[in-house]
Amino acid sequence: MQALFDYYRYNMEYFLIKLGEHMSIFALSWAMAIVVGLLIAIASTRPGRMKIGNALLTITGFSQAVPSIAVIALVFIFTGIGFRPAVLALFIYSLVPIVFNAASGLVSVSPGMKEAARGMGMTNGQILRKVELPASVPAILSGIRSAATINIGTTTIAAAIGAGGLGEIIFTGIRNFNFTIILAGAIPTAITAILVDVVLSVVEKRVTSKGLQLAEHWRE
Amino acid sequence: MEFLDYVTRNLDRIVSELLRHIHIIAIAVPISIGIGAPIGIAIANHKNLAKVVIYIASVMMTIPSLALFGVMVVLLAPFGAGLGIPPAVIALVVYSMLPIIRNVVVAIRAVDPEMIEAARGMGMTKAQVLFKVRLPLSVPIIMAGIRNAAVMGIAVTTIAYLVGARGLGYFIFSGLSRARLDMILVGAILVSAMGIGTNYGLMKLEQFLTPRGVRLERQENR
Amino acid sequence: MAIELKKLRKVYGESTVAVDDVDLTFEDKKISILIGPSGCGKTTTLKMINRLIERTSGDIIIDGRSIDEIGVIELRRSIGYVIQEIGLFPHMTVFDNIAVVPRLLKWPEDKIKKRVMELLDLMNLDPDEHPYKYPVQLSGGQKQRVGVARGLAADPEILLMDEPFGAIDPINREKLQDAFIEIQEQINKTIVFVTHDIREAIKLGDNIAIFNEGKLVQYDETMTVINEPADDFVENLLGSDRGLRSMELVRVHDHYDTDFFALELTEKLTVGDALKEIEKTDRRYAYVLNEKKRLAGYVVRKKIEKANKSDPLKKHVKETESIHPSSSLLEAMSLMMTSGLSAVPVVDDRGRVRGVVRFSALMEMFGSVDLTGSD
Repeated sequence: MQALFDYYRYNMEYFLIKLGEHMSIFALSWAMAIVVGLLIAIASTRPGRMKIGNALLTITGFSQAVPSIAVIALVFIFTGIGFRPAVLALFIYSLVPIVFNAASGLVSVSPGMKEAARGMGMTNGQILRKVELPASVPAILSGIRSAATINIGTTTIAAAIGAGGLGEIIFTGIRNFNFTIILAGAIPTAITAILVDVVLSVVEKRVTSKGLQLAEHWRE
Repeated sequence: MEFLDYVTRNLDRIVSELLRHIHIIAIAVPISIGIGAPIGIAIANHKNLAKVVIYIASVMMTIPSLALFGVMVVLLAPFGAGLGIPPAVIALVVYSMLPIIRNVVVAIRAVDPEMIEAARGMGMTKAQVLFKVRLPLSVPIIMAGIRNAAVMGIAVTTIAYLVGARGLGYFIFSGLSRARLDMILVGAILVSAMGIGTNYGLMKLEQFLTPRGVRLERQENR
Repeated sequence: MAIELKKLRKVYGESTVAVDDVDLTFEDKKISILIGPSGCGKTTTLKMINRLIERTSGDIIIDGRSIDEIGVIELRRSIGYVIQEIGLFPHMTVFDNIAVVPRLLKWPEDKIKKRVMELLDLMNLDPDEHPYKYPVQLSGGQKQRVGVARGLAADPEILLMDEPFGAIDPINREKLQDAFIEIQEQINKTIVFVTHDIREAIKLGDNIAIFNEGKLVQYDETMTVINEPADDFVENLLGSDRGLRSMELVRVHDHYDTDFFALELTEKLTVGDALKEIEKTDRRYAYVLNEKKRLAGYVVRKKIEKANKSDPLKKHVKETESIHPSSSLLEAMSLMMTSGLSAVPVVDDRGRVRGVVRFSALMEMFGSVDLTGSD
């Protein structure tokens, strides 16, 4: 215990830098994945493109079984080491659950509901905004949340391609078989991951119920 | 071509690491089913306990595997097992037990209570209710948990290379530290294929094991 | 087997009395209905019989034995239990669903198969097509038939039914009830049946037990309940049109008179022979059966007294309308109105005359009820 405190006391600056790197890799790649992922999901599920949407669902469904380290390794092959390749790898990796969940949410909006909307004179754009998206809010949010969980865990491993972050501390510890250093990296990593998940679960609950209210409201 | 060259020259090593990888999973996943399923069954009927356990399991699943390995190495060191297969297997058991417990609890609790009462009313014992009604109806969700555990296990085992357990992680991590693209490619392709293949295989198994009536019911509801 | 409830009581927690000292006897081979608003204790009472709910005090006696003397598992296996369609196991075929209790009782497979086929036949389900279907492939009505078959599988003396037709649409519910009445005629089980539908209660019940707030308000034969409601609560439950409604629902089957006179027709039977027979009684008319004992018609004493005594009787037989035992009393009544008959014979599926429904008896039965409903 004492050793752990000592580690932080003597390496506070280094620790904070790593924590900063960790959070910026996570935040950057996650934010990009949300934007791009939602666009892909929406674009592939437009009327007449449902086949593309379903194909995308199959592909992303299977891709979820690919270990994150494989994606990191493949990105390394093409782009080398450092912060940017790490962000790229994590972006690609967290794209998968976001697209998968959002697309399955959009695909499963009942055709009857859409037809009713069309019958009331809504344009495709209006149907998307007023019907499909509100009804898919729970699915979209759960995709975003699981992307965050996966992403923050995988960020640790991204240290293997020189991205920095808290994983670097753990790697150093394991390489030197130094328990204090391992724990100094592992404990904050775990705490950050849990915290992010807890925060998102609260957000998810709030927004989901609101989204459902919207969907309910629309139906009346 | 460099890549194919590497594969042909190191086929023995590739096969042995692949087998090692499978070996670790083949030990760990059955153990976590063996421990996780009975725990799930035992707590499923206690509403509050089930809630707490599911919550803890989902929180623990968010802990990055590398962090968990780190902790394992530290915890097991006093027993002289801080490196090699033991920490890998133990971490894997702890990790893959979580989706299994969670899904068993969720599946069993999802069985309609009226159906359970019908079964009891007809004179089934507790064990008969479990084996003839609850478990058959829970197959799809429980199998999804096992699938989840196995796929996660493949990824986690790759990282277990770092604590000396070897396996396919060797190609990736040694490749990265030596900047050997061919090695990295071998490792990345193999773990990906293994992940996708396992996922697909277990999905088929899940369909096979799901009682026909339940399958038809699911199609109906779609 | 009769079921006796003795001071049966169920208290939840400190003081929530769900069933309050209920004393009653469900008669052997009869359908006894438990009815009342939700939370009145009817379902709790039912479930205490197969100990899905344990009673707080009092006793339940089946065939002279307290249910506590029988192991709970054995007790349940010896009592059929039917609930709403949700109780079918979706992972089992129709066959396997029906075979649940026989298998628990370790019957040999060939005996089980024979029994299942027998029950499918009884329930009017096609034994070629249905046994290997899954519940999801059946309609609501079919599911419920399977539910009843499952309850009857091990041929229990007692059948407990908890709102079995509750989830079925009104038209199919009527059909199921009709089928159920016919089935009970064949199987003669002691049935305890919970419902919240007064129409169903009047239609199916030999006896009706009315519950309110855990207390037994009235327990009587169905007609007695209709004619002599114990209090305002029962009267409200029956509704202001109870007279008409009950005529519509009560079956001829329970209320015909077996006291009637019939002659057997032969080629040689003359009017004189017939009159001699009739004069032994003080009947004003007689039914006439043909050689196969089927109803041929009737003869009126006054009319044939004027006829030539050596005429073959056959010439004077008039055709008559008849009614099926499962028809309602209202149908019998309207048949009398349209045909001008003061009595109609009750004839079953096989053409056998079982008895007669008389206008005077109908009037007596509903004597205290205002048929117009303007209380």
